[in-house]
Amino acid sequence: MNVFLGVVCIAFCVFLGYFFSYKYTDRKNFYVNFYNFNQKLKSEVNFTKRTLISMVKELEGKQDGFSKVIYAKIIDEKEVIIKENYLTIDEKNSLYNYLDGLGNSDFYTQLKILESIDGELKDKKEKSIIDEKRYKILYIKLGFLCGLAILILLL
Amino acid sequence: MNFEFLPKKYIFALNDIKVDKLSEIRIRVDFPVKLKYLNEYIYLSKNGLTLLRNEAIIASCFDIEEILGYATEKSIYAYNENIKQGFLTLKNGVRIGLSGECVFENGAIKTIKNINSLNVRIPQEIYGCSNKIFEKIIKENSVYNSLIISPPAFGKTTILKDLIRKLNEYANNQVLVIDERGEFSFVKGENVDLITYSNKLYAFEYAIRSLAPTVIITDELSGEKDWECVISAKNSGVKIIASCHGESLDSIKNKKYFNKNVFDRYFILESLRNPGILKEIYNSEFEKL
Repeated sequence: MNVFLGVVCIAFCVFLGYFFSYKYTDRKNFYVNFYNFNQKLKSEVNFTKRTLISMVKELEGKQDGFSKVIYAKIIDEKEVIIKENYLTIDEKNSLYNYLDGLGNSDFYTQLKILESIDGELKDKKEKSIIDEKRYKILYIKLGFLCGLAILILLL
Repeated sequence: MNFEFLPKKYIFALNDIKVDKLSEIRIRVDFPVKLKYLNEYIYLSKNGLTLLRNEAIIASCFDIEEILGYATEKSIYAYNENIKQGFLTLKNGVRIGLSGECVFENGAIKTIKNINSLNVRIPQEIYGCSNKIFEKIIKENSVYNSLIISPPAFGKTTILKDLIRKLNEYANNQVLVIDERGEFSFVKGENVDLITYSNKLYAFEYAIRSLAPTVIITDELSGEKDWECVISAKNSGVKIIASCHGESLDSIKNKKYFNKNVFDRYFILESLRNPGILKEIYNSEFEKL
Protein backbone atom coordinates (compact mmCIF):
# COMPACT_ATOMS: atom_id res chain seq x y z
CA MET A 1 0.00 0.00 0.00
CA ASN A 2 2.80 2.38 0.94
CA VAL A 3 4.63 1.47 -2.22
CA PHE A 4 1.53 2.23 -4.20
CA LEU A 5 1.15 5.58 -2.43
CA GLY A 6 4.79 6.26 -2.97
CA VAL A 7 4.52 5.60 -6.68
CA VAL A 8 1.46 7.83 -6.84
CA CYS A 9 3.45 10.52 -5.05
CA ILE A 10 6.31 10.21 -7.50
CA ALA A 11 3.91 10.52 -10.40
CA PHE A 12 2.22 13.48 -8.78
CA CYS A 13 5.51 15.23 -8.00
CA VAL A 14 6.76 14.65 -11.53
CA PHE A 15 3.51 16.14 -12.82
CA LEU A 16 3.95 19.13 -10.48
CA GLY A 17 7.48 19.56 -11.75
CA TYR A 18 6.18 19.50 -15.32
CA PHE A 19 3.42 21.94 -14.40
CA PHE A 20 5.81 24.46 -12.81
CA SER A 21 8.09 24.22 -15.82
CA TYR A 22 5.23 25.18 -18.08
CA LYS A 23 5.95 28.88 -17.86
CA TYR A 24 9.16 28.19 -19.80
CA THR A 25 7.10 26.42 -22.46
CA ASP A 26 4.72 29.39 -22.58
CA ARG A 27 7.65 31.77 -22.91
CA LYS A 28 9.16 29.67 -25.66
CA ASN A 29 5.85 29.54 -27.56
CA PHE A 30 5.46 33.27 -27.10
CA TYR A 31 8.82 34.13 -28.58
CA VAL A 32 8.69 31.53 -31.32
CA ASN A 33 5.35 32.94 -32.50
CA PHE A 34 6.47 36.53 -32.04
CA TYR A 35 9.62 35.92 -34.06
CA ASN A 36 7.74 34.04 -36.81
CA PHE A 37 5.12 36.78 -37.03
CA ASN A 38 7.78 39.46 -37.34
CA GLN A 39 9.51 37.53 -40.13
CA LYS A 40 6.24 37.02 -41.95
CA LEU A 41 5.27 40.66 -41.60
CA LYS A 42 8.64 41.79 -42.93
CA SER A 43 8.05 39.62 -45.97
CA GLU A 44 4.53 40.99 -46.43
CA VAL A 45 5.68 44.58 -46.10
CA ASN A 46 8.47 44.00 -48.60
CA PHE A 47 6.68 41.92 -51.18
CA THR A 48 3.06 40.84 -51.02
CA LYS A 49 1.76 43.83 -49.05
CA ARG A 50 -1.05 41.89 -47.43
CA THR A 51 -2.83 43.91 -44.76
CA LEU A 52 -2.17 43.40 -41.07
CA ILE A 53 -5.79 42.50 -40.45
CA SER A 54 -5.73 39.61 -42.91
CA MET A 55 -2.44 38.34 -41.42
CA VAL A 56 -3.59 38.50 -37.82
CA LYS A 57 -6.92 36.82 -38.62
CA GLU A 58 -4.91 33.68 -39.37
CA LEU A 59 -3.91 33.60 -35.69
CA GLU A 60 -7.53 33.18 -34.59
CA GLY A 61 -7.86 30.37 -32.09
CA LYS A 62 -4.14 30.08 -31.34
CA GLN A 63 -3.56 29.82 -27.63
CA ASP A 64 -0.03 31.16 -27.20
CA GLY A 65 0.37 34.49 -25.41
CA PHE A 66 1.62 36.47 -28.41
CA SER A 67 -1.18 35.39 -30.78
CA LYS A 68 -3.84 36.20 -28.17
CA VAL A 69 -2.38 39.64 -27.46
CA ILE A 70 -1.96 40.69 -31.08
CA TYR A 71 -5.39 39.34 -32.04
CA ALA A 72 -7.00 41.35 -29.25
CA LYS A 73 -5.14 44.50 -30.32
CA ILE A 74 -5.60 44.35 -34.09
CA ILE A 75 -8.87 42.43 -34.64
CA ASP A 76 -10.85 42.95 -31.44
CA GLU A 77 -9.42 46.50 -31.08
CA LYS A 78 -9.30 46.10 -27.32
CA GLU A 79 -7.05 47.96 -24.96
CA VAL A 80 -4.44 45.31 -24.37
CA ILE A 81 -3.08 44.57 -20.90
CA ILE A 82 -0.30 42.04 -21.05
CA LYS A 83 -0.68 39.72 -18.10
CA GLU A 84 1.79 37.09 -19.16
CA ASN A 85 3.86 36.41 -16.01
CA TYR A 86 6.76 34.91 -17.93
CA LEU A 87 7.60 38.30 -19.39
CA THR A 88 9.58 40.97 -17.55
CA ILE A 89 8.28 44.54 -17.33
CA ASP A 90 10.77 45.64 -19.99
CA GLU A 91 9.64 42.86 -22.29
CA LYS A 92 6.02 43.87 -21.78
CA ASN A 93 6.85 47.51 -22.56
CA SER A 94 8.74 46.40 -25.64
CA LEU A 95 5.69 44.45 -26.76
CA TYR A 96 3.37 47.43 -26.14
CA ASN A 97 5.64 49.60 -28.28
CA TYR A 98 5.75 46.99 -31.00
CA LEU A 99 1.97 46.70 -31.12
CA ASP A 100 1.55 50.48 -31.17
CA GLY A 101 3.94 50.73 -34.07
CA LEU A 102 2.21 48.16 -36.24
CA GLY A 103 0.53 49.45 -39.39
CA ASN A 104 0.86 53.14 -38.52
CA SER A 105 3.94 53.93 -40.49
CA ASP A 106 4.86 54.30 -44.11
CA PHE A 107 6.46 51.37 -45.88
CA TYR A 108 10.09 52.32 -45.16
CA THR A 109 9.62 53.23 -41.51
CA GLN A 110 7.57 50.08 -40.91
CA LEU A 111 10.29 47.92 -42.39
CA LYS A 112 12.93 49.66 -40.24
CA ILE A 113 10.87 49.04 -37.10
CA LEU A 114 10.48 45.36 -37.91
CA GLU A 115 14.15 44.95 -38.76
CA SER A 116 15.27 46.77 -35.61
CA ILE A 117 13.61 44.23 -33.37
CA ASP A 118 14.62 41.22 -35.44
CA GLY A 119 17.93 40.49 -33.71
CA GLU A 120 16.47 40.81 -30.24
CA LEU A 121 13.58 38.49 -31.08
CA LYS A 122 15.88 35.89 -32.56
CA ASP A 123 18.04 35.90 -29.41
CA LYS A 124 15.05 35.64 -27.11
CA LYS A 125 13.54 32.88 -29.19
CA GLU A 126 16.71 30.81 -29.14
CA LYS A 127 17.29 31.40 -25.44
CA SER A 128 13.70 30.51 -24.58
CA ILE A 129 14.00 27.23 -26.52
CA ILE A 130 17.20 26.37 -24.62
CA ASP A 131 15.67 27.41 -21.29
CA GLU A 132 12.51 25.40 -21.88
CA LYS A 133 14.49 22.27 -22.56
CA ARG A 134 16.82 22.81 -19.62
CA TYR A 135 14.27 23.78 -16.99
CA LYS A 136 11.70 21.27 -18.06
CA ILE A 137 14.19 18.47 -17.52
CA LEU A 138 15.33 20.06 -14.26
CA TYR A 139 11.85 20.48 -12.84
CA ILE A 140 10.82 16.99 -13.85
CA LYS A 141 13.96 15.60 -12.21
CA LEU A 142 13.31 17.66 -9.07
CA GLY A 143 9.74 16.44 -9.03
CA PHE A 144 10.94 12.86 -9.36
CA LEU A 145 13.46 13.31 -6.55
CA CYS A 146 10.79 14.82 -4.30
CA GLY A 147 8.46 11.99 -5.06
CA LEU A 148 11.24 9.49 -4.41
CA ALA A 149 12.03 11.14 -1.06
CA ILE A 150 8.37 10.86 -0.05
CA LEU A 151 8.35 7.21 -1.16
CA ILE A 152 11.41 6.53 0.98
CA LEU A 153 9.80 8.27 3.95
CA LEU A 154 6.65 6.25 3.49
CA LEU A 155 8.64 3.06 3.34
CA MET B 1 -23.11 57.49 -47.18
CA ASN B 2 -21.30 55.57 -44.52
CA PHE B 3 -18.92 57.68 -42.45
CA GLU B 4 -17.54 54.81 -40.39
CA PHE B 5 -14.01 55.72 -41.54
CA LEU B 6 -14.23 58.88 -39.41
CA PRO B 7 -13.71 59.14 -35.63
CA LYS B 8 -16.90 58.73 -33.58
CA LYS B 9 -17.17 62.41 -32.64
CA TYR B 10 -17.18 63.33 -36.35
CA ILE B 11 -19.81 60.71 -37.17
CA PHE B 12 -22.04 62.06 -34.44
CA ALA B 13 -21.52 65.63 -35.63
CA LEU B 14 -22.42 64.68 -39.22
CA ASN B 15 -25.58 62.88 -38.20
CA ASP B 16 -28.11 65.46 -39.35
CA ILE B 17 -26.23 66.77 -42.34
CA LYS B 18 -27.61 66.30 -45.87
CA VAL B 19 -24.88 64.22 -47.43
CA ASP B 20 -25.82 65.10 -51.00
CA LYS B 21 -24.85 68.71 -50.25
CA LEU B 22 -21.50 67.72 -48.79
CA SER B 23 -18.52 67.49 -51.11
CA GLU B 24 -15.42 67.76 -48.89
CA ILE B 25 -14.25 67.37 -45.32
CA ARG B 26 -10.99 69.17 -44.58
CA ILE B 27 -9.06 67.81 -41.64
CA ARG B 28 -5.83 69.55 -40.58
CA VAL B 29 -3.99 68.76 -37.37
CA ASP B 30 -4.57 71.43 -34.69
CA PHE B 31 -7.03 73.35 -36.83
CA PRO B 32 -10.84 73.43 -37.02
CA VAL B 33 -12.48 70.78 -39.16
CA LYS B 34 -14.16 72.34 -42.20
CA LEU B 35 -16.81 71.04 -44.55
CA LYS B 36 -17.49 72.09 -48.09
CA TYR B 37 -21.26 72.23 -47.89
CA LEU B 38 -23.35 73.67 -50.72
CA ASN B 39 -20.01 74.80 -52.14
CA GLU B 40 -19.22 76.99 -49.14
CA TYR B 41 -16.71 76.21 -46.42
CA ILE B 42 -18.23 75.93 -42.98
CA TYR B 43 -16.98 74.58 -39.65
CA LEU B 44 -17.98 71.30 -38.08
CA SER B 45 -18.88 71.43 -34.40
CA LYS B 46 -19.77 68.47 -32.22
CA ASN B 47 -23.45 69.23 -32.87
CA GLY B 48 -23.24 69.84 -36.60
CA LEU B 49 -22.51 72.79 -38.84
CA THR B 50 -21.45 76.09 -37.39
CA LEU B 51 -20.18 79.44 -38.59
CA LEU B 52 -18.36 80.01 -35.33
CA ARG B 53 -14.71 79.01 -35.39
CA ASN B 54 -14.50 78.62 -31.63
CA GLU B 55 -17.25 75.97 -31.65
CA ALA B 56 -15.52 73.83 -34.26
CA ILE B 57 -13.98 70.43 -33.62
CA ILE B 58 -10.21 70.79 -33.64
CA ALA B 59 -8.57 67.93 -35.52
CA SER B 60 -5.83 66.01 -33.79
CA CYS B 61 -3.10 63.74 -35.09
CA PHE B 62 -5.01 60.84 -33.50
CA ASP B 63 -8.01 61.65 -35.72
CA ILE B 64 -5.81 61.44 -38.80
CA GLU B 65 -4.22 58.21 -37.55
CA GLU B 66 -7.64 56.70 -37.00
CA ILE B 67 -8.87 57.66 -40.47
CA LEU B 68 -5.70 56.37 -42.13
CA GLY B 69 -5.91 53.20 -40.05
CA TYR B 70 -9.41 52.53 -41.33
CA ALA B 71 -8.61 53.46 -44.91
CA THR B 72 -5.58 51.17 -45.01
CA GLU B 73 -6.96 48.34 -42.85
CA LYS B 74 -4.31 49.25 -40.30
CA SER B 75 -1.61 48.72 -42.89
CA ILE B 76 -0.29 52.01 -44.20
CA TYR B 77 2.71 50.13 -45.63
CA ALA B 78 0.41 48.16 -47.92
CA TYR B 79 -0.87 51.30 -49.63
CA ASN B 80 2.43 52.97 -50.36
CA GLU B 81 1.82 53.18 -54.10
CA ASN B 82 -1.37 55.17 -53.52
CA ILE B 83 0.16 57.23 -50.75
CA LYS B 84 3.06 58.20 -53.01
CA GLN B 85 0.50 59.68 -55.39
CA GLY B 86 -1.12 61.55 -52.54
CA PHE B 87 -4.43 59.75 -52.16
CA LEU B 88 -6.30 56.79 -50.73
CA THR B 89 -9.64 55.61 -52.02
CA LEU B 90 -12.13 53.82 -49.80
CA LYS B 91 -14.45 51.04 -50.95
CA ASN B 92 -17.42 53.42 -50.96
CA GLY B 93 -15.69 55.71 -53.46
CA VAL B 94 -14.58 58.32 -50.94
CA ARG B 95 -11.22 59.71 -51.99
CA ILE B 96 -8.85 60.99 -49.33
CA GLY B 97 -6.15 63.40 -50.43
CA LEU B 98 -3.08 63.41 -48.20
CA SER B 99 -0.47 65.96 -47.33
CA GLY B 100 2.67 65.51 -45.29
CA GLU B 101 6.41 65.13 -45.69
CA CYS B 102 7.48 63.83 -49.07
CA VAL B 103 10.44 61.50 -49.03
CA PHE B 104 12.52 61.43 -52.19
CA GLU B 105 15.35 59.16 -53.24
CA ASN B 106 17.33 59.66 -56.43
CA GLY B 107 14.77 62.19 -57.57
CA ALA B 108 11.83 59.81 -57.26
CA ILE B 109 9.17 59.94 -54.57
CA LYS B 110 9.47 57.10 -52.09
CA THR B 111 6.61 57.86 -49.78
CA ILE B 112 4.75 60.55 -47.88
CA LYS B 113 5.17 60.36 -44.11
CA ASN B 114 3.97 62.33 -41.08
CA ILE B 115 0.65 62.99 -42.79
CA ASN B 116 -0.87 66.06 -41.15
CA SER B 117 -3.85 66.95 -43.28
CA LEU B 118 -6.56 65.19 -45.21
CA ASN B 119 -9.03 66.28 -47.84
CA VAL B 120 -11.90 63.81 -47.73
CA ARG B 121 -13.85 64.09 -50.99
CA ILE B 122 -17.37 62.72 -50.92
CA PRO B 123 -18.41 61.28 -54.27
CA GLN B 124 -21.66 62.50 -55.70
CA GLU B 125 -23.77 60.69 -58.21
CA ILE B 126 -25.76 63.19 -60.21
CA TYR B 127 -27.73 61.40 -62.87
CA GLY B 128 -28.24 63.50 -65.96
CA CYS B 129 -25.54 66.04 -65.19
CA SER B 130 -23.77 65.21 -68.47
CA ASN B 131 -26.89 65.50 -70.66
CA LYS B 132 -25.78 68.64 -72.46
CA ILE B 133 -22.26 67.38 -72.98
CA PHE B 134 -23.55 64.02 -74.18
CA GLU B 135 -25.70 65.67 -76.84
CA LYS B 136 -22.62 67.40 -78.20
CA ILE B 137 -20.22 64.47 -78.18
CA ILE B 138 -22.25 61.84 -79.99
CA LYS B 139 -22.13 61.42 -83.72
CA GLU B 140 -23.43 58.56 -85.89
CA ASN B 141 -23.04 55.72 -83.37
CA SER B 142 -19.69 57.05 -82.28
CA VAL B 143 -18.39 59.99 -80.29
CA TYR B 144 -16.11 62.94 -80.80
CA ASN B 145 -12.77 62.89 -79.06
CA SER B 146 -13.59 65.26 -76.23
CA LEU B 147 -11.79 67.08 -73.45
CA ILE B 148 -13.57 68.49 -70.41
CA ILE B 149 -11.71 71.40 -68.83
CA SER B 150 -12.27 73.12 -65.51
CA PRO B 151 -10.51 74.04 -62.25
CA PRO B 152 -10.51 71.39 -59.50
CA ALA B 153 -13.81 70.45 -57.81
CA PHE B 154 -16.08 71.65 -60.63
CA GLY B 155 -17.49 68.16 -61.11
CA LYS B 156 -15.42 66.72 -63.95
CA THR B 157 -15.34 63.27 -62.36
CA THR B 158 -19.08 63.39 -61.61
CA ILE B 159 -19.74 64.25 -65.25
CA LEU B 160 -17.48 61.49 -66.53
CA LYS B 161 -19.31 58.96 -64.35
CA ASP B 162 -22.60 60.06 -65.86
CA LEU B 163 -21.13 59.88 -69.38
CA ILE B 164 -19.98 56.31 -68.73
CA ARG B 165 -23.54 55.33 -67.80
CA LYS B 166 -24.87 56.94 -70.98
CA LEU B 167 -22.23 55.49 -73.27
CA ASN B 168 -22.83 52.05 -71.79
CA GLU B 169 -26.23 52.17 -73.47
CA TYR B 170 -25.32 54.03 -76.63
CA ALA B 171 -24.75 52.21 -79.91
CA ASN B 172 -22.95 49.18 -78.46
CA ASN B 173 -19.81 51.12 -77.70
CA GLN B 174 -17.24 49.17 -75.71
CA VAL B 175 -16.21 51.60 -73.05
CA LEU B 176 -12.91 51.30 -71.24
CA VAL B 177 -12.49 53.39 -68.11
CA ILE B 178 -8.92 54.05 -66.97
CA ASP B 179 -9.35 54.81 -63.30
CA GLU B 180 -6.04 55.78 -61.71
CA ARG B 181 -7.50 56.64 -58.32
CA GLY B 182 -10.30 54.13 -57.85
CA GLU B 183 -13.00 56.77 -58.21
CA PHE B 184 -15.07 54.98 -60.83
CA SER B 185 -15.38 51.59 -59.20
CA PHE B 186 -19.11 51.98 -58.63
CA VAL B 187 -19.86 52.74 -62.24
CA LYS B 188 -20.57 49.46 -63.94
CA GLY B 189 -22.22 48.37 -67.15
CA GLU B 190 -22.47 45.50 -69.57
CA ASN B 191 -20.36 47.41 -72.08
CA VAL B 192 -17.88 48.85 -69.58
CA ASP B 193 -14.41 47.59 -68.66
CA LEU B 194 -12.61 49.16 -65.75
CA ILE B 195 -8.87 49.29 -65.11
CA THR B 196 -8.27 50.58 -61.59
CA TYR B 197 -5.17 51.93 -59.88
CA SER B 198 -3.02 51.64 -62.95
CA ASN B 199 -1.01 54.48 -64.38
CA LYS B 200 -2.18 55.67 -67.77
CA LEU B 201 0.85 54.48 -69.70
CA TYR B 202 0.39 50.85 -68.72
CA ALA B 203 -3.39 50.94 -68.95
CA PHE B 204 -3.50 52.51 -72.38
CA GLU B 205 -0.90 50.12 -73.78
CA TYR B 206 -2.31 46.87 -72.52
CA ALA B 207 -5.95 47.81 -72.73
CA ILE B 208 -6.00 48.74 -76.38
CA ARG B 209 -4.23 45.47 -77.23
CA SER B 210 -6.33 43.19 -75.08
CA LEU B 211 -9.74 44.81 -74.55
CA ALA B 212 -10.37 46.44 -77.96
CA PRO B 213 -12.37 49.40 -76.67
CA THR B 214 -14.19 51.78 -78.97
CA VAL B 215 -14.12 54.57 -76.39
CA ILE B 216 -11.64 55.23 -73.59
CA ILE B 217 -12.63 57.47 -70.70
CA THR B 218 -9.95 58.79 -68.38
CA ASP B 219 -9.74 61.49 -65.77
CA GLU B 220 -7.16 64.22 -65.18
CA LEU B 221 -4.80 64.34 -68.09
CA SER B 222 -1.65 65.99 -66.86
CA GLY B 223 1.82 66.06 -68.23
CA GLU B 224 3.48 64.97 -71.41
CA LYS B 225 3.18 61.21 -70.81
CA ASP B 226 -0.61 61.36 -70.39
CA TRP B 227 -0.91 63.26 -73.64
CA GLU B 228 1.32 60.79 -75.44
CA CYS B 229 -1.03 58.04 -74.29
CA VAL B 230 -4.11 59.73 -75.72
CA ILE B 231 -2.32 60.53 -78.99
CA SER B 232 -1.32 56.90 -79.34
CA ALA B 233 -4.86 55.73 -78.57
CA LYS B 234 -6.34 58.18 -81.05
CA ASN B 235 -3.93 56.97 -83.72
CA SER B 236 -5.19 53.45 -83.02
CA GLY B 237 -8.68 54.55 -83.92
CA VAL B 238 -10.05 54.59 -80.37
CA LYS B 239 -12.16 57.54 -79.27
CA ILE B 240 -11.07 59.39 -76.16
CA ILE B 241 -13.07 61.30 -73.60
CA ALA B 242 -10.90 62.87 -70.94
CA SER B 243 -10.76 65.68 -68.42
CA CYS B 244 -8.06 68.02 -67.28
CA HIS B 245 -7.54 70.92 -64.93
CA GLY B 246 -7.56 74.35 -66.43
CA GLU B 247 -9.26 77.72 -66.28
CA SER B 248 -9.96 77.95 -69.99
CA LEU B 249 -9.05 76.50 -73.36
CA ASP B 250 -6.13 78.92 -73.62
CA SER B 251 -4.68 77.64 -70.35
CA ILE B 252 -4.55 74.15 -71.92
CA LYS B 253 -3.28 75.32 -75.33
CA ASN B 254 -0.40 77.11 -73.62
CA LYS B 255 0.95 73.90 -72.16
CA LYS B 256 4.02 72.77 -74.07
CA TYR B 257 2.73 69.19 -74.53
CA PHE B 258 -0.66 70.23 -75.88
CA ASN B 259 -1.44 68.67 -79.23
CA LYS B 260 -4.21 70.26 -81.27
CA ASN B 261 -4.77 67.12 -83.35
CA VAL B 262 -6.22 64.98 -80.58
CA PHE B 263 -9.56 66.37 -79.54
CA ASP B 264 -12.57 67.35 -81.66
CA ARG B 265 -14.45 68.99 -78.84
CA TYR B 266 -13.43 71.06 -75.82
CA PHE B 267 -15.96 71.60 -73.02
CA ILE B 268 -15.25 74.34 -70.50
CA LEU B 269 -17.28 74.03 -67.31
CA GLU B 270 -18.66 77.00 -65.51
CA SER B 271 -20.21 76.39 -62.19
CA LEU B 272 -18.67 75.50 -58.88
CA ARG B 273 -22.17 74.80 -57.61
CA ASN B 274 -23.54 72.25 -60.06
CA PRO B 275 -21.64 69.87 -62.30
CA GLY B 276 -22.58 69.95 -65.96
CA ILE B 277 -23.09 73.67 -66.47
CA LEU B 278 -21.25 74.49 -69.64
CA LYS B 279 -19.54 77.80 -70.14
CA GLU B 280 -18.15 77.23 -73.60
CA ILE B 281 -17.77 74.56 -76.25
CA TYR B 282 -15.07 74.61 -78.91
CA ASN B 283 -14.39 72.47 -81.93
CA SER B 284 -11.04 71.14 -83.13
CA GLU B 285 -10.23 74.49 -84.78
CA PHE B 286 -10.91 76.26 -81.46
CA GLU B 287 -14.02 77.86 -82.86
CA LYS B 288 -16.77 78.43 -80.35
CA LEU B 289 -19.86 76.31 -80.99
